[in-house]
Formats: sequence, structure tokens, C-alpha cells
Amino acid sequence: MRKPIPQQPRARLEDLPTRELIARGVALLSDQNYKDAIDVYKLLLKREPQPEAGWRDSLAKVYLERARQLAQKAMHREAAVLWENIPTLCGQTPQPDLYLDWLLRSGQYAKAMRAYASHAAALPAGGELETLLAALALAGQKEVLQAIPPDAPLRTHLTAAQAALRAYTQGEAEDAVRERLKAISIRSPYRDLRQALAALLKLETDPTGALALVERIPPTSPYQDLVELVRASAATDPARALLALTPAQRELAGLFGLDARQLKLLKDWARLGDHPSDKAKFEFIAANLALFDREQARRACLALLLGYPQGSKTYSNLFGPLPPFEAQQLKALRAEREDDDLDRTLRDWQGCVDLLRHETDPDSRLMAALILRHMAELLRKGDDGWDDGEQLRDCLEQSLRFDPDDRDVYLQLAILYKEVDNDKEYHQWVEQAVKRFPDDPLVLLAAVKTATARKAHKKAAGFAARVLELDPINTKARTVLINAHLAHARKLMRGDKYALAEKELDSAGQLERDNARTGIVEINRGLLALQQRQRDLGRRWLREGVRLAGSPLLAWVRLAVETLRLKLEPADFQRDADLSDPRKLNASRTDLLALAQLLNAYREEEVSDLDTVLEDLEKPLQRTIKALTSEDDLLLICESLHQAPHYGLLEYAATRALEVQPERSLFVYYQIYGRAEGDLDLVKDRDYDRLEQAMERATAAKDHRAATSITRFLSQSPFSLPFAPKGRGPAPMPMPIPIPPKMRREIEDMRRELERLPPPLRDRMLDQILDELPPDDEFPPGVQRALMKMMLLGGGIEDLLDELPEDLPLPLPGGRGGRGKRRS
Amino acid sequence: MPNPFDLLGVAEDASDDAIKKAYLQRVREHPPERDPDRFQAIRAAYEAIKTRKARLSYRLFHQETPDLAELTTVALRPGDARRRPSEAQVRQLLSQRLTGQK
Repeated sequence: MRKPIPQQPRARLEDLPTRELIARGVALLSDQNYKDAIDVYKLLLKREPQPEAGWRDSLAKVYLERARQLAQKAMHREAAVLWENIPTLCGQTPQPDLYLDWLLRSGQYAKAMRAYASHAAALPAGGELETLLAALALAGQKEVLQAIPPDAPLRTHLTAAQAALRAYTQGEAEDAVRERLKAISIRSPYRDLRQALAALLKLETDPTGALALVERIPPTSPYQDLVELVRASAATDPARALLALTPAQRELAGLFGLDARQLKLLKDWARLGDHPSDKAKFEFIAANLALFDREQARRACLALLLGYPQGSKTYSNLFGPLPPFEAQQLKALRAEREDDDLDRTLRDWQGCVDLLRHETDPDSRLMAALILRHMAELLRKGDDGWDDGEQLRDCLEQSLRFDPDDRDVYLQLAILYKEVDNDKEYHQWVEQAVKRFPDDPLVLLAAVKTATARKAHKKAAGFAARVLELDPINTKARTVLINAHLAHARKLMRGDKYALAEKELDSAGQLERDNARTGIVEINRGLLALQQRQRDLGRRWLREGVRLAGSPLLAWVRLAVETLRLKLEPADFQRDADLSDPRKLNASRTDLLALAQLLNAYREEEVSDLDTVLEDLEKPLQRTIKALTSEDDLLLICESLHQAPHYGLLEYAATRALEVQPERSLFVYYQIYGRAEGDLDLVKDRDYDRLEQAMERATAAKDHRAATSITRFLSQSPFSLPFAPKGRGPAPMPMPIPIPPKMRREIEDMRRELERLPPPLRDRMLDQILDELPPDDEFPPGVQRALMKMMLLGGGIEDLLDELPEDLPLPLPGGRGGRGKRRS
Repeated sequence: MPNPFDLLGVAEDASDDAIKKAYLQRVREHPPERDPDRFQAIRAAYEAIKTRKARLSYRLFHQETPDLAELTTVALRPGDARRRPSEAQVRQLLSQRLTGQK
């Protein structure tokens, strides 16, 4: 921590030379710091009291400005006190109207009227001050009334103003009130009252016209409350405008045509305050029920019962007993809101489904389906990895019995089954989706994927063609369709059916857009021609394919992938394709980034052997990687090599990336993953420690991507608990128990030793080992013992659970504690 | 989120067409380029209730406490008979304004 710098004591004002004092005064004025400027100018006046120095004027000015600042903060009394210094210290009385205004606004009427009398000559005629005094006179302020001279307009016009007000408030006819208003001249200090009363009168017949009348009243007028009432009353939604009024203004709500019950409602509303509790809201509705739309009020009360369950009895008295479904729904919503017991929430929602199960009306069936999907969503959110998603899939499957027309549910189910490697169900759900939604591009694209995975290329092409019929610019479908034709062509080429293969290649070529040709079709045409011993034609096609591929690097990769797919050797076609030795290629940064994209695309097509393809390119790629300096570029390359995978290049790229961005967790992971060839068993102890540190850094920095990758890698350990269902996306993986390699070797040795022993001796030895386990901070002794036993003897999660003491609290997966969702 | 039915000004049993019509009307009143926040709220309200399924879902799962202002606004619909205030009420309002009391 830095040591505080000792502050120099500020020079006292009195110690400053006059020249500096003047400069300080100017600076304070320029900063509008009138408070401090007063001290400076008081001192200057003290030093140079002669009038020609001009300090009196300056001091008067800063006093007045400071008083104005206070008045702007509604500190009228303080402003007036400050102003009173000016005559005393400076011998001046600037703007006495302001002083009077502040006195009046702070309720110092007697003092104000004395000042009014003494400054009368200096007061502006017909200004805001007069309007204010007039309003006070009208409001019946005695001290003001008594002090007004008999011949002043304030007094002479008062009678007319009072008469007009009385005529209006006592309900006289419009014409009669207008006559009274005419008696108030437009120059009268009561002219704002005249305008306000005219507007209120107009409101009764022409609200829009009333609005125009109040426009002429200045915003500082004492009659602004009346102006706001007229505006609210003439608003398009007067009830809402009414709620925005101040409590004082709402006292005049009769202007809106409200009856006594509505006025009572308004008072109750005012009592609710800004943030009423659910109880207060419930009671407000109950007390004014007759005024509300009954069904709306019932729904509102029902919703409020969530936070105010004690209102149930009142609810039943007002609206009758809750129907069973709504009572159950309320229970489920309350359980969900409490958010501490997922099983209870699911049970309560299931109760709702059970109540709807035998209903036949469409809304009830749809509601049952929606609830089941909601339950699935809750299960997904609360997934703690203890099951393989069976309950979630079951909810979704059940929901389709009530509402079979939800496309997304079919696709979700297909994905869920794919995630748990249940290909049979995965394909089946896609098929069902296709049957139900034969013209839905999303479903058809899913069908293309499953058909391709099953090597049913013709079927895949059919689905993709249908997508293109429906959506001709669907790039994905076009690519899939081209790939399907190519795959079929390869199959035919391998079976020596050259004519048919050519037809397939023609189809693929016709589908390719001119601006998106990749050279694959041409390379395959070349390979086909060469297989048929048409050497010249084959060469031409291969060279055209190489040209279209974009760069020698990409061309080599394309050629290598295509030949390997046909079980051919890429090097045999190198010369025909006019490609140089791949080990001597020069690749630019752009080539490298394009290669990364190409590798990703091949991974999506599930092309294997990419590591073989990259083997010959290792040297040129290393040269290009070495020259990279951008972290983003290196990340892209690492990701791509991780996917391919090519361990050697991955380690190389990650090492380079760590030079650019030392200690980034993801790069540490890539480096170690590459070095160990993706096998946790091959990770050295030192690297293991680095991985753990990287994991800690990633967790602290909320770098979920790195944390997930490392956790996934660590969960390869044969000793990690089988908490993790496969392929659960980016969510943090459930807790594995990573064991450093050295300790794993020791456990393995112990296990071998135990296996050699006869059973009775083995049990005794095992007990001894377990009894001698050192204390562990992470696990209670019972859990530690059960885990060690499982590691030594093998066995699954069921065996482990059998071993655990019944009363033992289980550590929550992922280290969650406290209010984590409980699952029984 | 405010009650989407109130925000769009439609009844709870309104049809898909009526809701769409009300939505488009509201968007015309509050176009995104002029009133982006309001537009977002209108859009969200429409998404919440645009189909029968969405409306049922809203009714089943939304847990927000009701907007009392909406409910009260309906209850405070002004009648035809506007009543003039009394002289004392006007004087009182004036006094409160002049002395800064609310």
C-alpha cells in the first residue's frame, strides 16, 4: 500500500498578500463557489475599505449569488438571512423582490410585509412577487392582507378575484362565472387565477380547450397545482394521470367525475405508498373489490397469494374456494419460488399434470404438455449430473402425448438421446419429427445429419434436396447435398461403378455455386479419370481442383483428404496435380487461418484421418505458427488442431501462444493436452500441477471455457467418479476426483498387491489400509473410506453409494454448498 | 414485465389476430427508432402472448405480482359528473403550494 502523502497546510486567507487574494476571489467566482468567495471579499473589503476599491460591490454580488444558490435548493429562510448581510456590510439592497419572495416562501409574512413597505419603490410592478402576494391574499393570509395598502392593485382587485372563485366553487352557471372573471383585468396580479378558473370551467365542456388556456400560465405561478389538475383531467388516460398527482392535488379529484367510492379507493391507494407488500396489495384489492373488474381482481389476488399465503381464507370468502387445479398450481409456483427443493417442485407440478390428465378439452391438454416441458426445463437447469437425463427425456416424451405438434420437442429429444450415445432413439426421434413435419427445413436438416451418420447418403440427399426446394438459399442444405452426392460418388468409385460415380459428381457440380467452388468436385473427377486410366483428363481435372482450392496448402489438404477417402495414397497424385513437396510449402498467415476453417468444416463432416493429412505439413505449418503474434489467431489455430486432432502441432501452437500470452489457462491446457496426446495417463507430474493451477486461475477469472476443457480432461481419470454424463455442453462438468499421476501409480500398485492376496487376507489388508488413511479436509472419513475402497477394488457408483454411511451428507457435485438444489 | 395484455390493450381472451393488430398499432405509436425502450417492452409483451400456447404458458408460469396501477386505473375511470372543488379546497391547495407543504 502506498504511504499517504502528507498534505501541506493551506495558507490562511489572512496570510495571503492582497494580489493573491484577488486572484483567488476571481477563481472562486469563476467556479461559482460563492460560499468561499464571501470570505475572500470580506477580507478584501476589510483591507481596502475605500469605496473606489469596489470590494463592497463584489461582496454584495457574491452574497446575492450565494443566496440564489440556497433558494434553488428550497433553503429560502437561509437565503433571506444571507441577503440581509448585504445592506449591513455593503450598504446596498440589490433585488429586494427576491428577498421578499424568500421571506414569503419561508412563511415569514410579517417580516416580508415590512420589507414590502420599505422597498415598495424598488419593487417591479406586476411581476412574480405581486402574483405571489396576490395568491397569499386570496389564500387568506392575514398578515399579508393587513399590510397591503388600501389603494394597491393587490387590494383593489382582490374582491373581484374572490367573487370569481366563489362563483366557480359554488357551482354558478358557466356564463355567470365568466362574467365574474371578466372583472379581473389581464394586468391584475390575479390574472393567473383568472386563467386557471377559466380553464377549470372549460374542462366541463371542452377539455382540449382547457389545456390551451393553462398554457398561458407561467410554470412559476402559485396556481401550478390547478394547472396540473387541468392537464391530468384532460389527459387521454385521466385515471393514470390521476395516480401521478400529489396527495394535495388528489383532494380535488372530484374534478375528474369520481364518485365517493372511487375517492375512497384513491385515498387507499395513496396509503399504499411506493413499495407496498403483497399483503397490503391483497388487502387493498379486497377492500375495494366492488370497483374492480371481478375476474381481474381475482387473478391479481390469486397471484398475490404466492407471496401472501395467509390470504387464502379471505380469498375463499371473496371468490369461493380455489379450484383444485389453481390450488395445485399455486403450490407448485410457490415451491418453485422458494427454489430450494427441486424434487418438491417437480412433484407439485406433476400434481397439476395429474389433475389435467383425464381432461379432454384442448386447453387442458396443452397445459399438461406445457407443464411437462416446464418440468423438463427445471430439470435441465438443476442438472447436477447424478442421472443421465432420463427424467428430463421422460417429461418431454410424456408432453408429446398431450401435444404432439411441438417440433422443437422432437428435436430436443433427438439431441438428448444423441448426447447419451443412444443412436437408436436419436434416429427414431428424428424420423418421428420428419413424419410429423415433412416440410420443416430444421427437421429435414436434422434428418440429413442422421441419414449421413448412418451412411444412407441417398436418403440424406433426398432430405437436403427437399430443404433446397423449400428454401433455395439454404447454404447448409446445399453443402450437405453436395457432400451427399460426393459421398455416394466415392462409394461408387470404390465399387468400380465409374459411370454412376460420374453422374453423382455431375449432380454435385451442378449444385455448387460459381462463387463458392472449392475444387473438391474437380479433384474427384480427376481421381475418377485416373482410375479409368484417362491420364490427361485426370491431370486437367486435378489441376483445376488445385486452382479452385485457393492456395497450395489448401489444395494439398483437399487432395490428401479426398484420396484418403478413396483409400488411395495422396503422394501418388502429387505430380499429376502439379503440387510440390508439401514439406517444402510456404504458408502465409491467411493460408493458415483458412486451413483452420477447413479443418473445422471437415470435423463437422466427421472426416477422420486429419492427423495423417497434417503429418506432411508439420514443418511448413510450424514455420507459419512461429511467426504468429495475435492471440486470437493462435486461439483459432489451437482450437482447430485440438479438434483435428494433431497433438504435435497443437503443442507447438500452444507453446507459441504461451510466449504471446503467458499463463493463459486455455493455452496451458492445449499445450499439456497436446504433449500428452490427449491421454491423462501420459501427463507428467509437473504438468499436472500446472493444469491444476490453470484450472484455479480459470475458475477465479470465470473463464468457463478453459475450466470446462480442463475438467473434461481431468475427468478422463479411471478414478474419477462417474458423475459426468457424456456431452453435456459447456456447463461446468460435474466433479471428478482428479488424482495426480504419482498417486495413481501408488494406488495401482496397492491394487495389484491386493489382487495377489487370498480373499480373507485381502479383506484384512484392505481394512488396515482404510483404517490408516490420513485425515482429509475435503471428505468426511466415511466418504474417504468408501472412495478409496472403490478405487482399490473398482466398481461403479452404485457400489460407492452402498458403501456410504446412511446419515452422511454427500458433498455436492461441483463443490456447491449451502442453498444448492437438493435432490433425493 | 408489465402485464402484456394491459400493455397491448387487449382482453385476456383476445384472439391471435386481435393481439397482432393491437401489437402493430402500438408499434406504430412507438416505433423502435423513436422510442426503443417502449418498443422493446411492446415486442416482449407480444412475444409473451401472441399464440394460444404462449398465453396458456404465461397464465401457468408467470410469477410477477400484479400491476396494481393497471387494475386501479380501470377502477378509477372518470364518470360524467365532474364536481367542482370547494372554495376551501382551492384555498388549501394554494396555501400548501405557497408554504411548500405537499
